[in-house]
Amino acid sequence: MPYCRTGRILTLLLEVIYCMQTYLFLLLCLEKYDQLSSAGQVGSAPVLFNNRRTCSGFEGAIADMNLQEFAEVVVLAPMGRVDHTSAESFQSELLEHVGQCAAADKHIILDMSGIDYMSSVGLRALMIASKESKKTEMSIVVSALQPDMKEIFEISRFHFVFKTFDTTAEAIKGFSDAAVAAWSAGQED
Amino acid sequence: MKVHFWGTRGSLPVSLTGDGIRKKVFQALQKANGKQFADDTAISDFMDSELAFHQRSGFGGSSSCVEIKVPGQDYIVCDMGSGLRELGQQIMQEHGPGKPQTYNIFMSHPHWDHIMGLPFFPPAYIPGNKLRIHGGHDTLEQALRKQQEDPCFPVHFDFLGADIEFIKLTPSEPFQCGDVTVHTIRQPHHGDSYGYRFENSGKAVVYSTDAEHKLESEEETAEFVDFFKSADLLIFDAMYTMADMISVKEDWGHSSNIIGVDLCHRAGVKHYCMFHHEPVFGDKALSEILAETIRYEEIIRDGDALKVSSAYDGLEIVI
Repeated sequence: MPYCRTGRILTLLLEVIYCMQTYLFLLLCLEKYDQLSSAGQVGSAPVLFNNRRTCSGFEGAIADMNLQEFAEVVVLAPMGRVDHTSAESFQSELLEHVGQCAAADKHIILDMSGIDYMSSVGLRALMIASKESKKTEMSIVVSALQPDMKEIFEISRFHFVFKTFDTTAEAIKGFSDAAVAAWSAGQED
Repeated sequence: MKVHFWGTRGSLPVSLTGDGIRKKVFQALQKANGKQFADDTAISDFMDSELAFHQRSGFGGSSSCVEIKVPGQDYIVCDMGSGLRELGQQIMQEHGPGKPQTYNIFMSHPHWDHIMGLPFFPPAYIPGNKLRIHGGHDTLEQALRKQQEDPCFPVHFDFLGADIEFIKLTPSEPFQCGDVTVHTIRQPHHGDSYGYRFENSGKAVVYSTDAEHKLESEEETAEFVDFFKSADLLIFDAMYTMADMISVKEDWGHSSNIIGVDLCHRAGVKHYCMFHHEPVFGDKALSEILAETIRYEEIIRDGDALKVSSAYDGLEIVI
């Protein structure tokens, strides 16, 4: 019957819209990274941070957030556990770095090797950082997730939100030659 | 107390299609692989031990309706989604039309998927029955009347023969429903929703659906942690994945599976039951989400283990 056909078409249409929503969101998340990777931007941006600086000041279970700069790339390495006792300070510290990096045309690799555990409130902080980054030309990628954190990313579907790499060395390859060179030099120190 | 789930689907009732049934039968036959069964018990045993839940059964598709059974008390029902129809059928078989009953209904909110069962609830048409409809909204009666007006439905609200009363509840003011103490909390949802905590004989069941826990404010989160405190069972709106909930589906009014786990851990809840399932998800997807949520609870656990389950139409949990 025409009515049934129309109903089925509408249902299919709605399902397609739902799939497209998720797909487009994923696309938006990854698009920026791919653009930057292919552009191979060379580190002409002003230097904001001193290499190997450690940002302290987290309360709760988070110990500190290491920061290293390689040309246009800033590697942020938070450490500890992010739960409701530490998420607020984690978020404010992270957003501060996102703001500074955006203003300086820099990109962030979030090295998660030091994070043992992150609950939903920590993931929310990551999502806010991701949304903030999309207001600008910067990108945030994630590297070196510990096995439990990798599972948490998959369970929460955050592996669709952030492009993830097994190691920071892999992640930095997506940026400019200058960033890779600076990273390699840093490893030899 | 016992909790019986009559409808567990969010937003819109769904139905398993012929193709979906065929897939289940196919998988069962594939698994049996020519096996001979001595009797019906052997078949049942095989199904229970060899077939996964999504292969031998399913989550069902009726929208929100949960019965809280307390011995010696009148009926307590949370929401009147399409699951209310089946509850009504069962009541008619049990009592027939000649034994008047009182139904205490607690409404989370008057959105369509939570009210659509009333016109199909036979006890509402029987004089002598009492329907006490509780909720925090001023618009409950208006919503129930409107859904039975022309041109949406042929039988008007005034045709319902039962004695229907509306009782406005106020958050933070405990309400006595027979021997059951009911606490109410206002929840973040479009137009607000209300969650309920039912306490009887030292046990507590919390029904908290259609609530978007954005985790923006620790003060607000702490209020819910307090409301859920030490509950024996929390029925929780776990409709979306975390990434969906805080991105493409932000402000759609629902929470995620893992936020429920985190709130349960903080509140010391004993049993976390995911509810208000996304209509887009089939039985296999919902089973996978349950497995993932159990795994998340294991990873994140920092104290006593939390029992994690996923509600399905027909599930009964003894508290």
